[in-house]
Amino acid sequence: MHWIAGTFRCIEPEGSWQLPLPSPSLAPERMVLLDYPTLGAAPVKQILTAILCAQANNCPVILRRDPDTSLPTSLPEHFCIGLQTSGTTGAPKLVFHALERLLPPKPFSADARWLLSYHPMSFAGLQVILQAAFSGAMIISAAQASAAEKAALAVEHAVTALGVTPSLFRAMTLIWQQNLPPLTELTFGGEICDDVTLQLAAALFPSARIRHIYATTETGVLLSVRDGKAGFPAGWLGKPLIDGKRLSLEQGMLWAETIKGRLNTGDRAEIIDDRVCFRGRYDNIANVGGTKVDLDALEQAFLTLEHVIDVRVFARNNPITGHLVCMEFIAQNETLARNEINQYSQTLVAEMRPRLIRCVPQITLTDAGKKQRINP
Amino acid sequence: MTTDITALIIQETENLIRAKGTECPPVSADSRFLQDLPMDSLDLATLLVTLELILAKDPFRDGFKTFHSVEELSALYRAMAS
Repeated sequence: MHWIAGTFRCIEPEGSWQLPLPSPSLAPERMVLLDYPTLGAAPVKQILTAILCAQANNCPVILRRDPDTSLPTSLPEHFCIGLQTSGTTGAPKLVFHALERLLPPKPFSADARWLLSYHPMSFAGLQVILQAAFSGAMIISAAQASAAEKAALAVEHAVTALGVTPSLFRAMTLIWQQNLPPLTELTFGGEICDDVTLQLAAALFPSARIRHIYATTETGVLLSVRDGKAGFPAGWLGKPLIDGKRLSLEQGMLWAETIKGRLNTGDRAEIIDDRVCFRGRYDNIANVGGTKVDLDALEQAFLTLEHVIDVRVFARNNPITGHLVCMEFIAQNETLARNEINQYSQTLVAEMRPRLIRCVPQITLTDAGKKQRINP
Repeated sequence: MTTDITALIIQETENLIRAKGTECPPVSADSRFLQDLPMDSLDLATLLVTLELILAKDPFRDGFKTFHSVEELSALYRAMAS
């Protein structure tokens, strides 16, 4: 248990706790299996206890978000951590990582107070837990809380470190208004981070170190960008990145090369002025009566409208046209925003126009803090 | 139930046509969506998604079923309710 610093402490819905954790028990099955629905109100405690148990027994620990996900017929015979993929590019599966690949190269400040906004069994969520434990910092576990509750917790506990999706961050800024947490570390991940969001973050938290990372459950973290601009330098393509991993761009798709082999990330990108700009998931393309509609691109266009604070463009299934483009948006002045949306929609071909448009107080996000695109 | 669902479909159809800025002719249970009313396939798709959100029911979940008129569509929803 030497990798968890002694000053580590945690606030969870069940209550606050600190070390020591329960002594590791035997793992007679030669694995430790933890299913998310069984975690209760102290998920961080249970996850760390399970990891330490697997480490003591030198066997894998499997952190399964969905108990219906199949276990592989052949399990690793040594200590490692199995995480479930999101399933956006196929059936969810388990991917195993060595603990040292999930820990940061060196501890962060032990004085930091982290807010866990991601699902604790996602790659990003587990990284936040491990970073805080490794650094001996405090973590406030709020994965199940709403955006408003997370924003309030960040202020209440004077959170200094936050890992968050851009969508969730924008939602939290609407709650914070003048009352901001004292952030010194702000890390975006899980979705495209655009220039507008980065500029908003820099304006609200001028002394914070702001970065956006690109990671997948299969590959781990591929790159981290700190220059305040969306995307990453085109010169990084083909060059060794974190842990020697490499990225290449082939026919508009990003491929990752790791020691486990080459992987199509499912993320689209293009080079603009020496910058690789993310263009969204390949599976975020809706088919409306035979017309392909890029939901990410459409959303980015609506996000540029003056009176639209945030927007989610998504597709719903129907038996007539296959998909139908829908939209929800946040605005301070709904009338002005609707006028802008309607005006812009008239410039689009009929299949691209959002048909069901709702003004909402909060954008609908998945439990991973991302915007769902197809048939929510 | 018959009246409720048919009336709802008529009301939502009228709303949808008017929202396009088009004059709405009288809509009745016998009105055929794509033949008698100023609607195209995207409008019809919009109507079905709207009804699914209101009724929390999707009669097409197991595959497409043919319908032409308000009454025929209403019957598909009623069959789910029974």
